[in-house]
Amino acid sequence: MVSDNKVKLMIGLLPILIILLVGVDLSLGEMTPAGGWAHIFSDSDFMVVFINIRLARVISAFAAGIGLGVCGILMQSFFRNPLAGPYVLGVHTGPMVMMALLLLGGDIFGQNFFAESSRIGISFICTLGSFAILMLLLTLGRKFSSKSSLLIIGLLLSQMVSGFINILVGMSKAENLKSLTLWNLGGFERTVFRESLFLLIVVLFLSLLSFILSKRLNILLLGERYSVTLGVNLKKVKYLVIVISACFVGIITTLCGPISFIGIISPHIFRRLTLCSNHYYLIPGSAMVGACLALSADIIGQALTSFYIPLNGILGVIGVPLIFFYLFETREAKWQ
Amino acid sequence: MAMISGENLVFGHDKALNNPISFSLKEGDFVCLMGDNGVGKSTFIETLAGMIAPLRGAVKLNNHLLGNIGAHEKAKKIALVLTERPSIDFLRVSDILKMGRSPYLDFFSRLMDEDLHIIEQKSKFVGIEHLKNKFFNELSDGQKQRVMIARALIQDTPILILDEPTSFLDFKATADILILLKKISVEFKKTVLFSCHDWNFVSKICPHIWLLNDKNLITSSPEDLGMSGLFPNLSPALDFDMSSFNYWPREGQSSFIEVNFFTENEKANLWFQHFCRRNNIKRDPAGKRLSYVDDCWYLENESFKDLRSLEKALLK
Amino acid sequence: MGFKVKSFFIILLLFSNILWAHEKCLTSHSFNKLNIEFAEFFEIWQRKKQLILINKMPWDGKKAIFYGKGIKKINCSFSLSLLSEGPQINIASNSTTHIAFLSLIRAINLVKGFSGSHYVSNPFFIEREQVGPIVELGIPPKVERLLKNKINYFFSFSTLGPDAEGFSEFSKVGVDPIYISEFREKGPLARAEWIRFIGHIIGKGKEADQKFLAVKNRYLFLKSLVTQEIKNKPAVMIGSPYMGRWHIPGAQSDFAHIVRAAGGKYIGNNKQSNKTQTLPFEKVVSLIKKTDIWLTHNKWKSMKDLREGEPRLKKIINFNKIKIYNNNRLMTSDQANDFWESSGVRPDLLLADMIHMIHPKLKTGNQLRWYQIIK
Repeated sequence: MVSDNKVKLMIGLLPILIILLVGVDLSLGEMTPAGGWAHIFSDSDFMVVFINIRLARVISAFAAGIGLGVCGILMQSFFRNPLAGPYVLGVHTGPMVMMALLLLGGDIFGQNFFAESSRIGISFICTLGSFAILMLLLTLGRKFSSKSSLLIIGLLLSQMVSGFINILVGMSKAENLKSLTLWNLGGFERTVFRESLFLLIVVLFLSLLSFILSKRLNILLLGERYSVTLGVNLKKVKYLVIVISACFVGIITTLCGPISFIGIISPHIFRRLTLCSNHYYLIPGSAMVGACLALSADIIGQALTSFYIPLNGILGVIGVPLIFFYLFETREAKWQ
Repeated sequence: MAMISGENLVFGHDKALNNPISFSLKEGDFVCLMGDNGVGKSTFIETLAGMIAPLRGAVKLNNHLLGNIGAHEKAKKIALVLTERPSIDFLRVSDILKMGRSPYLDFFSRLMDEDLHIIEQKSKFVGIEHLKNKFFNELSDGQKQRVMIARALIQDTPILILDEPTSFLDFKATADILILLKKISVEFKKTVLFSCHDWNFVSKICPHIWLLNDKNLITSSPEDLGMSGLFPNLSPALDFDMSSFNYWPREGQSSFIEVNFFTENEKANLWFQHFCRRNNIKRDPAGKRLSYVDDCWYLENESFKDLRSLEKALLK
Repeated sequence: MGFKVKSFFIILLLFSNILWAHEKCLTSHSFNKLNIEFAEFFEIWQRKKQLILINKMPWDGKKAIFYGKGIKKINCSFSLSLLSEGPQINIASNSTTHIAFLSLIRAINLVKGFSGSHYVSNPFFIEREQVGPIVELGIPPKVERLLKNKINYFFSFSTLGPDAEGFSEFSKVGVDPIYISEFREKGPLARAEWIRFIGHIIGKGKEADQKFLAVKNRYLFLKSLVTQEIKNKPAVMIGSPYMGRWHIPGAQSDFAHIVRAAGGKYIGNNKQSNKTQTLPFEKVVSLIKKTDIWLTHNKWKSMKDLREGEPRLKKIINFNKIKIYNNNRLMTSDQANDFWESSGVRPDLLLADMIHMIHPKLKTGNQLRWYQIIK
């Protein structure tokens, strides 16, 4: 089996790539330890910076990439739609509106919720937002059969949510607005070490849960009705997928801002490289591709020292052409 | 012993589609479910397979209520081939076949020797072993259907239910699939139920026909169904021809041409029979005289080498 | 060769023509140019009670508009944009800085409308807005409200020009926007000098000139006080973290100039730029370790706010060694901050604040106005 070898090769190569990228990303920054990298542990001042700023940044990039990669494959398999993804379907708008309420709430309700709660706490509130959007997507998406209609529903939902956010923005004050705007640009630099560890642990746990779903997701590829005849409890899988995806998007979005396109691209890259649709490989593979993408985007952002390019700027510029590439390629394949 | 039986069953998604019906499907039965589009064949099949609950009455599997059997247990008893097809990129035929084993597999979906043997054997039987490494999306419709049937066989269930396995298939593929189903039923002693519209084939290979008609289920044989005149009423434009057990478009008001035809050549006789039937021509001793001698047709005194020109002359 | 030289002179001639044409013409019409000391974006010409004000547009700094006051026509190559001559002056604006300018020459009572009034912190303005004479015009300002409230002077802050900001309709109904380019000026005093432009245009020229003179003298006095007395220069950083990125004004910004004028060493950013940069945290760590006084410009009012806003700081900064100030002492509950409104108008007070923070032993006679210490 040719494809099996390819899969094993990729599963073996990706961790090496990740280690390389982590190394590069960790080395990017203004400061170097006194006496060179060999004496890194003796420079306690540097270690403080290294752990609290650099390591925190790299861990959140790594964790967010993994989370979005897994979330992407979960959504694509569950909706059985290659164009599904947390950002394209507007799932991130759920946390966005929650965040807008929290950040701008002070201007509207006279109570600033954001300042008074930890961001880890906020991430649970934002998860509710993404859960609501996913449920809406699911119930509305069922009424239409075509694959692109799901995209249109996602688009319309996010338009509605951004309409709501715009209302909040109109009522709010300049200072808080600045925070919201910058939050929207996305970035891994804003997480504290504690938060990035929290993110990593949650993401790994959720990824493990998703991995446990592999068998059922494989069967689900045949279609919902087939999977029922093969003994899959569809309702259970549905709620698990929705809850896991909601947690992924809610927590990542709260801590790193809405991050575009990693979710939709990672599964495609891995599938294209391995020609594999087996979730036992797809889930770890897509997770690792996601981590590579997130780390690379962070490296680009960090390496360009003379000016600031926000994360979503980089991802948008790289991500959309990749999606177009995918669309054109599948279209050609269908004509042949 | 009845494997699947229905007692006063009323099915439907929200509103009832039929009067209460009772039936039983025995081991080794080979049954074709027929009926007009929209009469509820698919819903009936879904109800039989326990995918939707009956509105009233009960479906029993080996005398147990189907609703009480767990999804996993059910997956080892009933295998289905549905009209929907997976359309996922990079899904290989071998992946799909493996999924047939999934009710028997552990968490990591590891395939044991026994599983591999079953996959091997069944895919050979269905004749798709050479397609194993292909992507499902690359296959032809007939091949896809064969793969889906092989997958259902690999599920290794005593009962196999197929929802319109021949829809969208061409003449040859339809024949192949139906003959394959018959073979499966005989070889593995499986109970096979499938829905189909193709009376022409079905009547020739199927011992049992279930007809969903006018909210009732008529269980019968093709012969009885043909004779009973129930089935022929399906369309006012069709007439059932007892002699050929097949359908012909209903004749026009009167025939315009009367021909007196005589030949000793059996083949020419058959040709002319079909020709007359198709063109509303009546054989009448008082009509024009047509004869066939030595590969040549003679209408009155005119001779025709070419059948098309003969047809023209006759219909003039 | 000959052609090149010729064309060079022709170009020079044309260029000087554009530059000096209006000066020549105005001088020949016996207009006097008022001495503008620092500002480069406006000129004021006077002939008895007649005024011609020239204002370079803020978005490109080249195109100029000529405003006439008390004069309708002049036989020059430019045309005059007429200012309303009605007895009543009704001012509207879309920038809080304009309110601070108007407040300085006691002209708040002339303000009748504002676009985005919840950003204003001026107490006189707020009072008048609550009582009624000042109307919110909407963002962008609605032409019909402008007309209904008989606005005849619209002071406009614009970075993109009238079409992009939605002001092009104003000229059609006879209210030519008056663009205030103060934010393009280089140097605190150049900025503050715009009080003279505003003052002359609304008929309070003399008062404005006096006020500016006072501001200038006070600024220069404080500056000289510092240069006389100070030898050590504490390191001062200005920077505000937002979502993990720091916003730090360039070394040629007005903030940096004032920090240096107050006897501090500005270490925010070693670039020769006046623009604010967005830097990653790590770049700031090395700066902040050298810093004695850190000025932050955001919402924080206490150490608790700071810890919540950027929890990593407590691991990096020695809070005993560094003094932290924020510029929000006069921030209203609506988050309108008088600092952004008035500090450009009163560089003397800003300098006094800076001296108070950087060299508290120097007696300026001022208390901290905008900054407050974060403890």
